[in-house]
This record gives sequence, structure tokens and C-alpha cells, in this order.
Amino acid sequence: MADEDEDFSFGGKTGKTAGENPEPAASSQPSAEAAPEISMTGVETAVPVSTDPDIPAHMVRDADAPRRSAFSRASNDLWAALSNWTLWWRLSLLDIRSRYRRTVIGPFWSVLSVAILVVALGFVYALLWKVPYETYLPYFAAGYVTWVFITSVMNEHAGSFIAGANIIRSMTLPVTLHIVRPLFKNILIFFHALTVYVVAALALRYQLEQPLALLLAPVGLVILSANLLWIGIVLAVLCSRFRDFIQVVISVLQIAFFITPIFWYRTELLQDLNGDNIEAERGLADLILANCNPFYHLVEVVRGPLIGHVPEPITYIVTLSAAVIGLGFALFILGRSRGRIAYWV
Amino acid sequence: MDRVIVDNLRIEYPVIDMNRSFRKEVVNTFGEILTRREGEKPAVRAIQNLSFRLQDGDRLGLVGPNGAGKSTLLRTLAGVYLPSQGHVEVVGRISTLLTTGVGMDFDDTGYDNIMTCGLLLGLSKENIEAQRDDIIEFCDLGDYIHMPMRTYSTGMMVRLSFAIATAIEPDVLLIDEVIGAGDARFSSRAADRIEKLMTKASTLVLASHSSDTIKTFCNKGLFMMGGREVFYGDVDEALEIYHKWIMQGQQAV
Repeated sequence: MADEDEDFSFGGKTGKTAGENPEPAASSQPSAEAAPEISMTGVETAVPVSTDPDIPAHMVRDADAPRRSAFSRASNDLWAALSNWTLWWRLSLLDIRSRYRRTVIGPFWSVLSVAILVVALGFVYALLWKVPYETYLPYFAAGYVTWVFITSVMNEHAGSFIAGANIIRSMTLPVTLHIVRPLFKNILIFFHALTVYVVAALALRYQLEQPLALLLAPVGLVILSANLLWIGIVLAVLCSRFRDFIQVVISVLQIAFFITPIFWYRTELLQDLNGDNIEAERGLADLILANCNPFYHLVEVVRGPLIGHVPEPITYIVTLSAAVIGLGFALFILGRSRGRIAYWV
Repeated sequence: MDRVIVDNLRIEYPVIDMNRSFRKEVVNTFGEILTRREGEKPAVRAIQNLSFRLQDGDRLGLVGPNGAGKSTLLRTLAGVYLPSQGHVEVVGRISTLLTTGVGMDFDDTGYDNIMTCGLLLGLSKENIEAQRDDIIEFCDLGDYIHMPMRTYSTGMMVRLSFAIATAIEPDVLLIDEVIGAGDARFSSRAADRIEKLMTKASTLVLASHSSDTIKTFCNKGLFMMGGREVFYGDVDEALEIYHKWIMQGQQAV
């Protein structure tokens, strides 16, 4: 009994005062009674899965739930959110629709704004850096589209628990739904914006160095999304408690755009004014701005394959291990704070 | 079978104090999150020492003045708040009607929002399609069902939300104040619908300031004050004591 109480009153004071409780002695019976009742409806595994297809997993609150650890509570939450795909699919579409409601060209506004920026800046930068725009423009387009995806997701995740406060405070739903929803919405917008790169590459007859690398692009998108998922959980938890973090996220993302090789080439870090390779002296800049820059790897894992270039192994090592470790960390944080999010928003 | 078990429940709202230094806040909260220890923190005790049980067919009405903890209790049963102490157990499918229009897109038509809201409440797509005509018929909005929700009156929104929340055929239905916004005709139709749900062995918990609403829908009453139970039992008795309290002040209890 003591164990059960301690787990359920997560983070709380566990001393049980029987004081005014009319029947404190009977309190251990309900869970014992209810447990077999639940297993009859098929809830036996660690994840509460209902045998009735009409009952989604998150609606079933079995008697064991309170006793499970914070970590498994968080992973159940995430699993419930991800597996309820009809819900997030509809909500994401709804978000896109409501954003462009009553506009004439709808979601193509996001394509158009990216296209204008890429074409305008592409020509200017190609001139400034004296690089051929036939190769620069596709490079910039692919990188910028990926970057817009990353920043929109992170910015939205920072405020997503706060934006979903109404739902969090009045419905029985997994909180990570508010992470999955903006992520998926922005994946859809990313596919729209990707047409800018495709059109630019086709129009300029851009030659892919390694055409087969393209096959790695979907893999990269999955890796990137997995990373955005855990970063989103951490950001949303932090930002719902400490509102100052929202501003921090916005500023960091603004700076990151300029210090990450997106509109400039990474190879430029290794060249002096005459264009000679001076790797020895300037390798440090490359180390800091590319290899040690997480944003570089997140961008490169998608952009590299898009422009026909297989990313270096270190990019995959960094992004994959970050996804695994990060997800564990995010679930840990979420499990520890899950009970308090409703109070914070 | 016990549907709802509330045992020695205590709910505390943390008060986030902006006067304390940011650094201190970060250190404290992270310390808590990582070590699971709780520091000294200001908190509002919204519910304390509350225990009761509900079986299938029980319809509990929550009465009490503002700040009695009625909404907090409903949210706790819905799984929104975790207890600071004690134990809460709700077995089965939960449907909530705590705020109207939650998760709905007000630029969308009522027709489309039936799907959105139904999915949020945990219905499957096929289930919603099957129930849609019934929902439309019950909420009786006429042509408004094909109009954007922003054109709806409060009462119309309540009718639609109620129809969706009850379409799920929940095991446990939680309703806050909102139901009072419907007109008399809706009230009696809603009572019929609840009655029908109850024959399918459901449990209802409803909070309201209107004794009529409580009498119409409930067979049990819980009179709360300051987060504590004052009376729990038969609905008429509970209302009687509540009224006595209203008439005579706190001494009567």
C-alpha cells in the first residue's frame, strides 16, 4: 500500500493521514479488486492496450497505471499519442487549413515565400561569394527549406503545451499529442516547400553528384524528425514551466541560422582569401561551426542526400545517437514532470 | 463494480512565484525533476481528505460555493491533475464535457467539428460516421450544422458539445457547469439522453450551481466546501443541507 501511494502521489508528500477519511482501512481493496476486472478487458501488458478497437489505449486507465514508473508512464503517453494517427493527422491538416483559411492560394503561400527568398538571396550570395548560381541556388534551396522546417517545429514546440492548455486541462489525452501535432504539420509544409528545391534543381539542370544519395533523403527526414520529437518534448516541458525559455529558443534559432553552413559552404571555412586550401590553420573553425554544431548535422542529414551528396559518417553517428539518448532523456523529463504540466500551462 | 474510487484525495496547485530569482527557480525545479524531491513551495490546497466511491448507475451531483473544488475534482477524475496525496481510480472509458468547444476549430462547420471533437474524445472515425446523424439530430441545430462554429450561440455550442460527449457511450461521463447554458427544451432532452446512457450502466459526475439541474440528472449528491466534503449521500439530502447553508450561513452545517 505504501509503495502504491508513493508512486501515485508522484513528487508529493507521501505521509498518509487517515484523519478524516471515513473508511481508511478499506483503501487497499479497490485496486486489488479492480485489477482482475481490468485484465478481463485485455489490459495485461505494460502498455494498456484495449481489445475493443473503439477504445483507444489512452482512455483505459488500469489499476496498475499509478504503480508504473515515471519513465514508462511517459513512454506510454508518447506511444498513445503516436499510435492515434487518425487524430494527429486530422488535427495537423486542420492546423494547416486554418492557417491559410480564406486565402486564395492557400498552403502555397509557404512555398511562395520560400521561393522568393531563395531566388533573391540565392542570386545575391552567388554574386557575393563568386560561386556559380547553377550549383549555389539548389544548395541554398535545399538547406533553407530544411532549416525552415527545423525552426518552425522548434518554435512551435516551445509554446505547444501552452497553446494546447485548453485541451490539456479538460480532456483525457496524452500530452505528447501536442508535440506530434506541430511536428507532423510541419512535415507536410516541408513537402510543399520542397518543390522550391525541385523546381530550382530542374530549371538550372543541376547535376547530382551521386544520384543514389537521394534514397537517403527519406531516411534523413525520419532521423531529423525523431530528433525534433525529443527536443520538442524537452522544450515544451521547459517552456511551459519557465516562460523565459521561449525567448531563449527564438534567439538561439536566429543566431544558429547564420553560424551554420546553410547559405554559405562549409568548404569556405577551409579556404583563405585566394581560395587556397589552408586546412591546417582553419580546421578549428570547421570543427566548431560544422562538426561540433548540432544544427549542422540536423540540416546535413536531409540536405546532403537532397543535393546528391552522401553525408559523412559523423553526421549519422551524431544524429542517430542523439535521437536515441535524447529520446530517453526526454521521456525521463516528461515522466518526472507529467503530473505538473497541467498546473504549469 | 466500482467505477470511480477516490480515496483520501488531496490536490495542491503549485503557486509559481515570479518574485523568486530565476536562477533559484531553475535550480529548484530541476533538482525536483531529477531527484524527485520536493522543496518547500507555496501551494493552494484545492481538495483535501476526500473519499467516495461510485458504482455503475450512480449519478453524482457536485454542489458547493465557488472555490469548493468541484471543477478540480472533475479534472482529477479526468486524469488532468495527479493527486498530491491519496488515490484516484477511474475504470473504463471516460468522456468529458468540462469546457465547451475545446479543440474545435471555430472557422469549421459544426458538421466537421463533430469529427474533430469525436476523435479528441477518443472515438474512432467509423464510430463517428455511424453516430453523426444521431448527433446532428440530437443537437437540433437545423441548417446551422453546416455553418462555421463562430456563428453559434453559447447554447448551441453546448448542445453540440453535449451531443458529441454523450455519443461516445462512456463508462464515466464528467460534466462541468456548462450544461446550464442550454435552454429548457434542451435540458429535458439532455436528461432523457443521460437516462438512456444510465441504462447502459454508466456513471455520471456533474457539477452545477443549479439545484434543478442536479435534481434532474443526479441520484447522489456531494456537497463540498473549501475542498472538503461536507455531505455525501442522497441527492435530496445533499441539496437540502446545501440550501440550509445558503439560507443560514456556515453555522448550519
